[in-house]
Amino acid sequence: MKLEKLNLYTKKIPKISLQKFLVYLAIALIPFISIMFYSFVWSQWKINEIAIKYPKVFNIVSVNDIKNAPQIIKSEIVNYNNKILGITKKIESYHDYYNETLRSKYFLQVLLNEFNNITSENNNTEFFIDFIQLNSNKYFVRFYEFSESPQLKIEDIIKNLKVIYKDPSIYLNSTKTLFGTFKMFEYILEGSL
Amino acid sequence: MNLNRRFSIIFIIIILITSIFFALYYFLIIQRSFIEHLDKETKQLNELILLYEQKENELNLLKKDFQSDTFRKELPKYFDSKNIINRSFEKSEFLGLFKGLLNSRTTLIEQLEIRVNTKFPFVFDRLEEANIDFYLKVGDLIE
Repeated sequence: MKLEKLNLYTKKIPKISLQKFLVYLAIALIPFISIMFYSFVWSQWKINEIAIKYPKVFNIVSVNDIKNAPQIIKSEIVNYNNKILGITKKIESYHDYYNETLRSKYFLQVLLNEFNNITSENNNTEFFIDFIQLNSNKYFVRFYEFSESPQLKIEDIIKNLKVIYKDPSIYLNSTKTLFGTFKMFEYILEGSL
Repeated sequence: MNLNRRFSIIFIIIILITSIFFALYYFLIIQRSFIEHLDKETKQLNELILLYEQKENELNLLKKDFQSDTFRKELPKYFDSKNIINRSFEKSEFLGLFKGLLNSRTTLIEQLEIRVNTKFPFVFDRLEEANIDFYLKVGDLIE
């Protein structure tokens, strides 16, 4: 008698117990749980890294509420953009005001500085401003130089004035001999603001 | 209770593969893009906060500079009406006012008219007696 076919019931379906199945299932889920855990730890580590890098942002946004952080950050970006726009306008208004202030008196500063330079170099020269007028778009100065010959450096004054004004002009309007060689030169300085 | 071994193993293998794929997808795509996005937006907000602080400092300096101008503070005592001085001055008082006006960085001249009344042209000996008609309108800062 041959002992070939000991398994007499060949069509028997292999079975596994539910307990074993659950154990295998749990083992199969280990890589998933590991990757998810690593992902969580990695994200916390990255969030901490970002929080250390940008502490000013995380004074506004709480690390505990990190899920809502992108929305909060987005709304804060809009908020800061508006705040920056507002403050930039204020700064511009100050700068514009300072520029306008300078424009409103620069011609007098240049002129008086020139007078000062000439009179400190030359004792026999005096200047006298007779009339100054300035309105929203024009300036006008009438002044006199008392000397033997004109000392005023018109080109230098024009060069300095052109730094700020478009069309400054200064010209000798009249000359009058006062006594001997001592003369009086009448000048007009004018231009647009 | 027993289960079919073949189907159970196939099921477990499918669970294993899909769960790994899902976990990798979650980690490599969702979590990484969230962090990258957060980093990018945080950087942008941080730059805006720094810019705002810088602008705030600049504005404070400008305000401080504006408020520290003593001439501007003293000017209202000369006003005859709002922002306007319209009267005659003696030479010494005028020179003080005029010097202050020219040196002040914050006093905007909107209108100015100065006329020196003296015995012209022999001005030098009698300049102390000069009387100056002075009209000044100053501007205000509008923020």
